[in-house]
This record gives sequence, structure tokens and C-alpha cells, in this order.
Amino acid sequence: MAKLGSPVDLEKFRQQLVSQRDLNLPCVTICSGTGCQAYRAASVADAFVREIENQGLKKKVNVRRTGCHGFCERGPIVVIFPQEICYLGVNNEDVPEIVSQTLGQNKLVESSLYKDAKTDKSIAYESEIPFYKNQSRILLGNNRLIDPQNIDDYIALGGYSALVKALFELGADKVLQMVKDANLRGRGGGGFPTGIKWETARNAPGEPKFVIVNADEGDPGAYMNRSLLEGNPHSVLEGLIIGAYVIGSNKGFVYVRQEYPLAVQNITTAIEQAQEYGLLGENILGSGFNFDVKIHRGAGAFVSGESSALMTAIEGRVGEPRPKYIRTTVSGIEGKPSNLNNVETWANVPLIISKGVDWFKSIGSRGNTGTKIFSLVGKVNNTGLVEVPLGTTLQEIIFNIGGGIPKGKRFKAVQTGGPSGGCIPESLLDMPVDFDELAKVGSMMGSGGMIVMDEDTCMVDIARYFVNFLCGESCGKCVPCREGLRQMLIILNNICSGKGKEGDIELLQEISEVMQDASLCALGTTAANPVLSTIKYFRDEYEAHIREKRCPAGACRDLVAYYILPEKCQACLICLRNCPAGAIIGKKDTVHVIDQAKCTKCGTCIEVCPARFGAVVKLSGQTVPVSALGGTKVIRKR
Amino acid sequence: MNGIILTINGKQVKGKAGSTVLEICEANGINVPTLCHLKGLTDVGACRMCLVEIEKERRPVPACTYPARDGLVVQTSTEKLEKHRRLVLELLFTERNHLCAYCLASGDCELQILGYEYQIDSWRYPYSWPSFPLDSSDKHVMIDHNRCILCGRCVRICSEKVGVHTLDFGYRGWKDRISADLNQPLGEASSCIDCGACFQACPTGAIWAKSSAYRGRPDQCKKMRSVCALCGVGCEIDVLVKNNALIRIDSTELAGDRGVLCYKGRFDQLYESHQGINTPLLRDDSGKLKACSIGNALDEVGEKFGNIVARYGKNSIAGIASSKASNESLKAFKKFMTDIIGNDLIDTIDGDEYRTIIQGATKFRSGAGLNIETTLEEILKADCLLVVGVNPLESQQVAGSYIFRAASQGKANLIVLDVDKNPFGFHASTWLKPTKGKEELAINALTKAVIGKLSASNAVKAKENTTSLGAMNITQANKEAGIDVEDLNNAAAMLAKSKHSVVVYGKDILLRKNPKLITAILRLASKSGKQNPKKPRVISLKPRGNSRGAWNLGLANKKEFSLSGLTKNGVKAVYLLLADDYIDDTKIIDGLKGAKFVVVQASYSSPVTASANVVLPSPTWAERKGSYTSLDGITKSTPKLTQPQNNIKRDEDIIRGISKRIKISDRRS
Ligand SMILES: Cc1cc2nc3c(=O)[nH]c(=O)nc-3n(C[C@H](O)[C@H](O)[C@H](O)COP(=O)(O)O)c2cc1C
Ligand code: SF4
Ligand code: SF4
Ligand code: SF4
Ligand code: FES
Repeated sequence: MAKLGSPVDLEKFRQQLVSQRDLNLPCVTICSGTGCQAYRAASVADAFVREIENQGLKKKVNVRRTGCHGFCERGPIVVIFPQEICYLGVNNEDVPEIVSQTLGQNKLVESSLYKDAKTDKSIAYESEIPFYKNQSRILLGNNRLIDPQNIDDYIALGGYSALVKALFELGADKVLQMVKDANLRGRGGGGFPTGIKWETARNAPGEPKFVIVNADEGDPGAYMNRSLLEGNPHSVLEGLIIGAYVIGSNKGFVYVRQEYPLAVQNITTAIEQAQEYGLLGENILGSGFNFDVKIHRGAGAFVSGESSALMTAIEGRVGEPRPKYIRTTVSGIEGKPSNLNNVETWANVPLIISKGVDWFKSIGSRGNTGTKIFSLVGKVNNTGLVEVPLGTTLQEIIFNIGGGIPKGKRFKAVQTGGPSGGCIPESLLDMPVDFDELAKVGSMMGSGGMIVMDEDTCMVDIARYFVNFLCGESCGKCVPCREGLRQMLIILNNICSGKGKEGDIELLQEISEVMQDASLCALGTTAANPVLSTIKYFRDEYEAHIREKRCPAGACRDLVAYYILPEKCQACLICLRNCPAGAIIGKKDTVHVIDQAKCTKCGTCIEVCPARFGAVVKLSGQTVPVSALGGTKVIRKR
Repeated sequence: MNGIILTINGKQVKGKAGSTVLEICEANGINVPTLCHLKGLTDVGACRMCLVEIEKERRPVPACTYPARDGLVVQTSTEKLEKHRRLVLELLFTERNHLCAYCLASGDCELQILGYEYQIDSWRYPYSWPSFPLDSSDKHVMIDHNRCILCGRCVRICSEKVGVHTLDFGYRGWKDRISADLNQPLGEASSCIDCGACFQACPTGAIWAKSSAYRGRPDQCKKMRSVCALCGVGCEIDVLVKNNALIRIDSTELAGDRGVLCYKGRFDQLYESHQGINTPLLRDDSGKLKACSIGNALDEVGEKFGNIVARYGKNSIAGIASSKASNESLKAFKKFMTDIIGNDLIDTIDGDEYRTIIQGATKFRSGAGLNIETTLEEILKADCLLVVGVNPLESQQVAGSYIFRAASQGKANLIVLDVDKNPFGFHASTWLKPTKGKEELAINALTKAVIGKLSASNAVKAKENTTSLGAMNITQANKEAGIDVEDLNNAAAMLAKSKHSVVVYGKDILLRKNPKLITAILRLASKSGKQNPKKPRVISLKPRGNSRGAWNLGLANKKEFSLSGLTKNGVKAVYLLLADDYIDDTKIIDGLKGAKFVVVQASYSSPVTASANVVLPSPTWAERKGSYTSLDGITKSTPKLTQPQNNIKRDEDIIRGISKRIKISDRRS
């Protein structure tokens, strides 16, 4: 392919692509994002190709492997265009039927459709599934339309026209003004205004200047950046080139974590293809602007996602944060102006340029424009990637899109913002989710993690979980974070195991204060959020642990005991046979008893005890009644 | 100029732009507690003890990394700050083993001092019972990770000043610990040069020296400013002495420009390496050396010297001195030979090296002497360094550190020209490996290549003085000298475009006894980038601690001097002043065989003292006041650090004793 030497070349090429494509031809798209791959999507895709050929439909149907559709829990996801029929959880055996029925005879295959839990009705079209219906997928939406390994797909959909507009129509000043007017805020967590960041880097003295994509994404459970980079790498790249043009940078980096092999592969291919087309390199599209991008693979330390640590790593040193009282936009990589933005931030740029400031500002709430992608996980019916306008309420996200809490349990809290975010209680479900509101309640946006918790979750245990994660990820450079986290962990471990003391809460608060005030980087200054927010909203749970040695959620192993109610036990032997520790004593016609010394508190007994008996109970904060030795006779149920 | 004014604790203070807030506080006598800060090293803001509050900053900031600006309003000691500092200290004390009673740093520990200041008298947080390993694998330096506060001062001095990058952090979070060469025991870390800088940089008892451990706290010792006389770099040192023993040797300004020491300077003096001579020895009738009184020994020497001169004339006694001796000893020795004996049959053990340098320099420019050489500081400013025929890490380790430091982070290009046995070549960006014996050709080829790469205006100037190279065919020469053409071109390009190149040469070149090599080096240097053509930046690493001093005093003979030749031609007696040098050179021992009467004045017994008729004691470096001149010509003095055993007299006094006893009638010239 010859390089595209001008905007006209690009437009001609696009028209040629569009004319070659028959949009009425049915197209089977198989999600090949990492989630669906784990459900063997690759093999399903192969099966489609084979079956379509077998049934003689090869000329009449297109097959496309695309990036992540977001509803990963129900993968592999297959969407058939143009009707957008959505099949979920498709496996190889389903393929012949789908090909013959849907592609061959235009009929639906009922068994693979989404079934609404409330109405028990099947839903055939993706746009009508509640999980999708209530989202605004301006960034993720294209994932299902393009093959990320093929730049032509992106171009056919209008890709790189924002770049043309920026380079040839608007010029750097106007583009910068648009990004500022649109009030695009950094999606990497801090919500810093992107336009202002660009302007600082642009005006900072020093050459060369660098632009960087932050695709480190080290939060456990978060994968929105990954999905964008895997599913639509050119959207990120186009944003980066535009940013580089505004800032006056000729050298960019994509810092992507090594543990994302598909993302690395797709962004590598994207860069190569863009170079081949003349969209990267010397004299881009004949504009005189030169720009190249290098990939830097990060070795998977959470803290390396922090801006100064990331830049230190790009310099070839250990990725540890350094003091930045001179901003990295002024003095970053090798002391040169360096502009770092998150994957999602970059991907928003072409949209703002193409569709305009007003369009962008029409989405979201005041001061929080546009959408945000969340990774919705935990105790919620529909898990996956959710893209909604900023300012959408928690209620909407968790109940309308997420479909509420499974098994009819009660919602307790939602944790947002990744490991150093905070827990938000039920009373705040109506709050709009945006950068400012989250900070107000003691949590944060972070990169967009959202973990839903139900009544069975212990909030002290949750705080401990995150502190444990952060303790392992603290780089160890500064004392408040390194030691503060460890002390917190020790104290939380004590509380969860019944060794908590009066005054522990105050010690935790005291450490939190020094961590927030005195840590070197934002890992340390935010790391107390999980502890402080749970103390704030769930202090009674801490107190129950410390004073009564009771875990109200019954989750802390050391504080619960399983007990068989003698009056209910029917001596069915089921629990006795299933107990992995051999801790249950009993025989036919004799009430079973749990030997508390042997019990490992795995909870198997309570699960296997037939519901109609309900003889096993979980106790916390009370002494286990002593059962009569030698056994008591069963009181038979009638 | 560039003055700024800040308000600190309500007072206006002046400072220099470009300083940190901490530097301004220090300059104005405002105390801010620190732990990870060590003056001279890059600040990292790790310990958070130096937090200060600055107006308009959301949270407290570390003074050590905060750039000072005009108009800043700073508070260094608010209730909040003191609370944070105290908690940071509490956390540090609970983190690892700071049970001071068992710690050798107790009384000399920055953490302990702060612990007292903030009255950390108990733990409120769960103690962590650390169980990190103790690394005792190294000969000199021990690491006890259990006392480390992870301030990183050792890591930074090791890379920023010593330049070897041995130490770094391993692991992370609270498991973080100091690690040598990708987690080797320190004794097995091949990059470690045992300089001991880490141990001096450590604010706590986490790194310490075996030689000083538990031997005395600084406040129990007398601390004296001195100069190390071992290799000629002339490092200034502080010596800690207790009970007439050397306890510890510190650098005076560790992270300063010339603050790095080497294992010899820091540790070797603390160990007795050879058997000392505490009393004069006389060879008795049975041929054995026997102890005698100093009076007897001096009588014997005076009488024998007098008789020999009377019988064979004044040119029958030769004198040889070691350039390890102090300037004072050497001066007295020379005076004795010229004024009392009355001849110029005198040389230093390293006289050959002296003559090679001087003859080479004179050929480069008539009248040039040792003064043509540049100073060691110039290495630190270099943008291109050429090291010829020496491994500085072996001969003058500290000079090696200067070179590493200059070359770190690509600041200066490092070129090594030496045979492939020299491991220093591995650190070079270009390593030219001439065939042995072809160094001169290689240097000349490089010179010609450099001239070829100079800008037009410089090239015209360079024409003069290079006529002899005009006919040289570089390709041919390269082949003959065994040099890779590409390497030569690379090296030439670096030298030609340099603004501040420095050439360092040493041992292997000097041993070649070929003055032409020196001329070639000087000529190459004079063509390399921006240079003063008359005094190009060249420095030779000289063989002994006081070589420059001895040579300046005229101890080294200008003419060829060969001991065996002299004894064949009428020299009957030899007087050797070795001071604390240990000599086992067979050339000298063989040369002495032709002499009838040999007097050796030395601190240690050696094969040379074994072949003497009379052995006179000589105080060691620590036992005498004296001055020494560094290889780049700076003279510094040291006080008497310890009392010599048996009250051994100074060299000058002994020489005066001989002079008094000698009766020389033949005083005609
Ligand atoms: C411990 C830590 C980890 C971080 N990890 C990431 C990350 O994985 N991805 C990211 O985009 N930003 C991360 N950040 C935020 C970055 O420091 C930086 O603010 C961001 O990349 C800037 O981009 P934005 O302005 O587009 O948000 C992290 C920050 C901290 C303190
Ligand atoms: S706050 Fe934590 S992660 Fe950040 S520099 Fe300090 S120790 Fe490292
Ligand atoms: S390192 Fe310092 S504070 Fe720690 S035990 Fe030794 S003397 Fe005490
Ligand atoms: S060993 Fe000493 S200097 Fe090195 S980090 Fe630990 S406390 Fe600091
Ligand atoms: S001295 Fe400033 S942070 Fe340690």
C-alpha cells in the first residue's frame, strides 16, 4: 500500500473501502476480547467460518472478529448484522443451528438469546438488552464494528478524519481550545483538565517533548483501558497524534502492561499499519508534521501507572515515583516536557474534534462532560464494562444496567475507584457518579472500578483486602506509605481475627492522616480511603468486631462458628459426609455435632444441609452452645 | 544576583535561586530534621522528616526536594508537622530492629538522635519483629538489613559518586531492601570495589565496617584531619583514634567532589599488613641481624660511611628513596646525600617513570616538566575521556570513580586504549586494543584520524607539529597496530568534537620506558577538541603516594640510574630510605648484592631489609607528622596520629644523627 500523501488520498481511499463493502450483506461478529477468548471465542469463530462454508454461504456472509463488547460475563458474544441479533454464551455446538436458522432462514435461535430475569422474555436485539439499552457507548460502541487488526475497518467508519480536521482545518490553537472548551477531564483517575495539561506542556520550554499513553491499568478487576486498546487501538492512536500535534511533540510512547498480550499485539499492529499508511512517521498526510510512537512494556507494578514512576520506567530505571514539585508536563522524561494521558482520555479526543464541543458537552453533567467506562463487578447480576454519561446515578448503574443484586440479597455498598477508592453505602445510591461527587463522599473515580457488595460482605474485611493489595504494591520508598500500610494491615488483621483492641480505630485514623498528608505519591495519599470510608459509614461493624468479637456479615472466619441446631437436625448424614475436615460427629438417628476444634469454617455444612431442615446456623459474637456428649436422639419432623 | 527572598517561620530570609527550601533553611541556620538527605547527593524525598508547610500547597511538602522560589511562605515546625514527624519516627522504630543497646551505631546514629529529640520511648503500634538476613560476605563491609531505614543514601552514593552502581533496592513495600548486583551477597558482587562509601553514608547501623565495629564511638575517639598518602590521589580524610589505635577513617566531605575514598585508604591502614620494625638492627659476626640501641646503629652507620668515603671517594655511596616517604623525610635525605656525602648519586625507586615522563614532555615542548599536567578535577568536567595503558580501579581507584562519575548517564564518552587484558575496557564506549608494543603507532594513528575530523579552522591550526604524521597511512597503521578501523573512527570523532577532553595514562605506559609514547599522548591530547595546545589536559597516574612530591624535590635522578651499574663502577655503599614502603623488587635486591655496606631505613621488614647490614627504624604514615604531594601537585599535611612504638625517631632525626657522627675529611668536590 502506498502512503496516503494528503487528506484527499485518505478520503478517496475511504470511499473506495466503503464502496467495496456491501452493508446489506449479513455479517457475523464474534467478540474476541480477552474475556470472550477465555470462553473459547477463537474456536467459536473458527466454527462459524467452517459452518458457513459447509452450508455454502461463504459468498453471502462476512465474518469479523472484533474487540470486547463489554458483556463479558455472558461470552462468547456473537452479534449478527445488519439486524444486530445478539447471541450470548455461544459455544461450538450452537454454531450450525445459528448458521442455518439465522443466516440461512432469517430465524432466531431462541436458546442463545438473552432472557430477562424479571419478565422471563427473550430479547433478540443487542440494543434492547437492559445491560446495553441504558448505556451510552460512544467509545466502546465501535468495538463491535471493527476488526482491531485491520486499519481499513477503522478508516471505513470515518477513522482519522478527526486528524485531518485537526491538521488541515483547525490548526493547533483551535484544537487546543476545543479540548479546553469541551472540558475533557483525565480518565486516569484524577480528572485533571486535559486541555490545561496540554497547554502547559505546549508552552513549557525544552525539546524534545513527549506524549504518552498510560495503559498500565494495574487495578485489580479493571480492564476498560485494555478493552479499548484491544478493540479499537486506532481511536487511541488518532487521539495521541492530535495531542502530539497540539503540544509540538514528535515522539510518543504507549506504556502498556506486559500482562496484556493482546493489547500489546493490537496496538503494535495498529502502529505498524498507521506507519505504512503515512498516518505516522514523517510528514503525516503531507502536513509537514512528524510523529512516531514507541511501545514501552511495563512489568506489572501497580505504582508504575503513577505519572512520575511511569516516566522513570520509560527512562530505563525502576518505576518508582519521584517528587514532582515541578510538573511532569514541564519536566518529565529526561527532564523534558512530557504529557501523559490515560487511554480513555486519548480515545475521547477524535470524538470531540469530529463531533464538536457542543455534542460532547451535551453528554454528562456540569463540569463532568462526556462518558466514563466502568468495570462493574462483584455481587451484581450483569457484570462487564459499562459506559455511561458522567453524572449517572449509582442506582441506575447498579440496578438498571447491572440488574441488581443476585439471589435476592440486599445491597450493602459499592466500592469505586480501584484499590484506593472508598466504599459508598446504600444511603448514597442516588448520588451522581462523577469526579467531584465521588471525592466528596470519600471515594474517587480512579480508573473506573466498581465493585458491588451485598449483605454478606464484611466491611472491615473489605478494607483489609484493599490494604493488603496496596501493601504489596507500595514501592517502599517513603515511610508513611510503606510502613503506614503495613501497620494498617496488621491492625486490620487483628480486628478481623478477634484480636482487635479498644483504640485500634483511632490508631488507624492516625496513620491515615499521616499517609494522606505526608506520602510521596498518590498511591500513599489515597491508600487510606478504603479504611477511612468504611470507618465513616460502617463504624458499627468495626466496633462489633473489636468489642463483641462479632462479624455482623458473618464473613470473618475467625469470628464465626457453625452450629447444628439439635432440634432441627434430622441426622441425614449429608453434612457429615461432605465436611472436608471430618469435623462432624454423628450417626444415623443421632443429632450431628460439629467438633469446633476441628472445624475449619469452610461453610460446607450450611450449604449442603437441605433447606427444608435448615439445621446448620452460623454464629458470630456468641458462644457456641455445648452439645450433649454421646448424642441425642433426633426429633423427627412430621 | 539571582537572589530570592522567602519568609520562613515569619522571618524574611535570603537565598539563591535554584536552591531547595532545605538548602535555604540550612544556610540560614533553621533546623529541619532529615534522614534521607545527604548533602551532595540527589534528594529523593523518601523519609518525609523534612516536611514543611508552604502557603498554597495542599499538603506538607518535603523541604529537600521543593524548589525555593521568591516569595514562598514557609513554616518548618507547626503542630501538624511535628505530629507527622513523630509518627514517621514511630513507624521507623517499629518497622525494623532499633534496639539501640545492641547496635554498633548507637551514639553515632541519625535515627537515634531524632528518636531522643522526639522522645520515642515506646511502641504504640504492633512491633514487626524483623528477620531479614545479615550479609557478612564482604571482606570489609557488613549489611544488617534489620537496621535499614531504606533512606537510599548508600544506593545513591554508590551510583552518583562512586559510579559503580553496585547497590540498589530489591523487592518493594515493607519487604524492600538494599541489594547488591541483582541480589548477590555483597562479597560476591563483582562490581563492588569495597570503597566503604555506603558505610559512611548510612545514617544508621545498617551498613558498617568490620574493621571499626564495636571499637569505639566517635565521641570516645579523637578525630584528626589528615591526608591519605597511599596512591597519590591525595584524599583528605578524618582519622578517628582511640587508645593510640586507628579506629576509623572517614572521608571529610563524603558526597563532595573529591569525597570518595578507596578500600586502601579507608581500611588498609587499620590493619597491620607486614611485620613492623620497632628497633634498629645490626648484622653481627655470625651474619644475623640483631636488635641494638639507636646509638649503636647510628655509630656504626656514621663510622662505615665515613670510612668508605675516605677510602673510595664521595662517589662511592648511592642513595635511593621510596616516593612513599613524606616530603620532610625526603628533603632531609636529599640534603644528606648532596651536602654531607656530597654527590648526586640519588634516585627514587620510581625514577625510571619520572625520566620517561619528563623526556616525553620535553620532546613535546621544550622546557615542559611535570607542570604540563592537568588536575584530577578536570576529569569531573570532561565530556570525553581517554584512558591509556592503565586500570585506574587497580592503581588509583578513586581516579577510576571520577572517570565513572564523569561518564555516567552519557555525560562524557569514555575511550580506553589498552590491551584486552585490562578490565577497565569493559566500561568504555569504545575500546581500542592495540597489539602489545604497538601503542605508539596506535596513538599516532588516532591522532591523525582526529586531525582528519577537526573542523576546517581547527585543522589548519592542527597542521603544525604533525609533519611527522603526514606520511602515515591510517589503514596501514591500523592494521599493524591491530586496531579496528570503525573503533578508531568512533574514538577520533568523539575526541575531535569534544569541548573538554582529558587523557589519563599510567602504569603500563610508564613501565615501557619509552618517552616517545608520552610525546605521542601529549600530541594526541593537544589535537583533541578544544585544548590549550601548549598544555593539553593530560594526567599521569604515578606509581606511589608521594611520587610527585619526591620528583618535585629532585629526588629522582635526571640521568639514567642503575643500581647494579653503579656498584660495578665503584659504588660501595647504598643508603635506602623506604619509610613505610614494602619492597620486594628483585632488581633492587640484586643491585644491592654488589654493595659492601647497605643501610635500610624502613617501617616494615621486607626482603630488602633482610639484605641490609644495618636496619634503621622509620615511623609509619600514622606515626609521624608530615606532608605529601598528590599526583596532581597539591600538598597537604597530616598530624602525628599515633605514638610510634619505642618512641621511634622521625626520619629527619635519624638522618641528622648519622650526619653528626660521620667524619668526612674528603670535602673537596
Ligand atoms: C498508584 C497510581 C497508579 C496509577 N495507575 C494508573 C493507570 O494504571 N492508568 C492511568 O491512566 N493512570 C494511572 N494513574 C494516574 C496517573 O498518575 C496520571 O494521573 C494519569 O495517567 C494522567 O492521565 P489523565 O490526565 O488522562 O487522567 C495512577 C496513579 C497512581 C498514584
Ligand atoms: S506513597 Fe507509596 S508508592 Fe508512593 S512513593 Fe511512597 S512508598 Fe512509593
Ligand atoms: S540503627 Fe540507630 S536507631 Fe537503630 S538500633 Fe542502631 S543506633 Fe539505634
Ligand atoms: S543501608 Fe543505611 S544508607 Fe542504605 S538505605 Fe539502609 S539506612 Fe539508608
Ligand atoms: S530529608 Fe527530605 S524527605 Fe528525607
